[in-house]
Amino acid sequence: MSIIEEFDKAFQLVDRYEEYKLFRAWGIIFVITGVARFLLGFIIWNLFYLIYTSMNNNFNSGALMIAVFNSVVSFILIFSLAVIMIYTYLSIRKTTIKDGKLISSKILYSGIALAILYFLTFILQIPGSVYWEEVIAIFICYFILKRGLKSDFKEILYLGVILFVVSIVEFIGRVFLVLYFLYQPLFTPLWIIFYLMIGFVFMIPYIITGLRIFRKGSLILEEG
Amino acid sequence: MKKDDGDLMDKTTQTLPSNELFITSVRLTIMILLFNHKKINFTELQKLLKLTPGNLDHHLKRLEGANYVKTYKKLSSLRRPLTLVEITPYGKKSFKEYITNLRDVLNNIVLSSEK
Repeated sequence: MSIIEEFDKAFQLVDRYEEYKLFRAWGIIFVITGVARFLLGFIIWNLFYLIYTSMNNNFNSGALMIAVFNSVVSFILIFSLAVIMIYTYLSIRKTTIKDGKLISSKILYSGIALAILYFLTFILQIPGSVYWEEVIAIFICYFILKRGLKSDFKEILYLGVILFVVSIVEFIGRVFLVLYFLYQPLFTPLWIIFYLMIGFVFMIPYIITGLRIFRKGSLILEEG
Repeated sequence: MKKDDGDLMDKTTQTLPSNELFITSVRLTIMILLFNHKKINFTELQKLLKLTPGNLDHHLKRLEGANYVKTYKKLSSLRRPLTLVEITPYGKKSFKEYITNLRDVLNNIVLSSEK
């Protein structure tokens, strides 16, 4: 076998390894996102709310504090994820030889674009729902990955579809809660139970998607 | 493949810089990956290259013998023992020189074929 053929074979293996790393990184990111969003975004959020309102017995100031706290938690969480994504793509390179150097190609720029997009989509939250922007971010992520990579990330598409359905359920639930609120001032316990369930339902697809992508990465490495 | 392309390929094969250690795709793959990632898990490498531990160890020993790579053991974050393979500064420099030489030879062949 000539050196050229050996190089060709080596690059195929290198590409497969990069793909494996990419899938594993995405898998981990989704599992972390699911768990962190549920824990930080819901449990701490509501515990804080309960403690604050029970201490002050003042719903309006409590709601304001929750909004501020939620924004800070979301900012930290999403900023951290954006950093993880940028780091992931900086460490994963599509190998090519140019001018005697092994260089990285557009996979890097896709990663940075995704991280910025993800960050902005979460920060510029669409009024009326806390989950719609997440669904939009997931779909855009899928299309960017599909354009930039040869890898198949169908799990991300499925995640977007599931989150979309959950968002609709959440929206309908909100409408009912508002109606309930009009006739029942002490709606807080129901509100919390509803959001606990929605938060939990939102977490599960993230974790399943993450584990599936992670597993796919291992299969890529083993089977080729 | 056209006849000219075939001639060019033969010429390339004959004149490419030969480094005995890089003539197999296994060691080439190991060096390219380490050049990009600095260190790699032994088990991942074994699965990727579809080699037995002993066979991979043989290839790594040859690269270690030339001081291109080093292997060491470490505990993972889950407290499991890991064997890691890391490129040495000398290995990185040597591989870079090899790639540069390769590029020069390829460039010369392409230029001469265009004349």
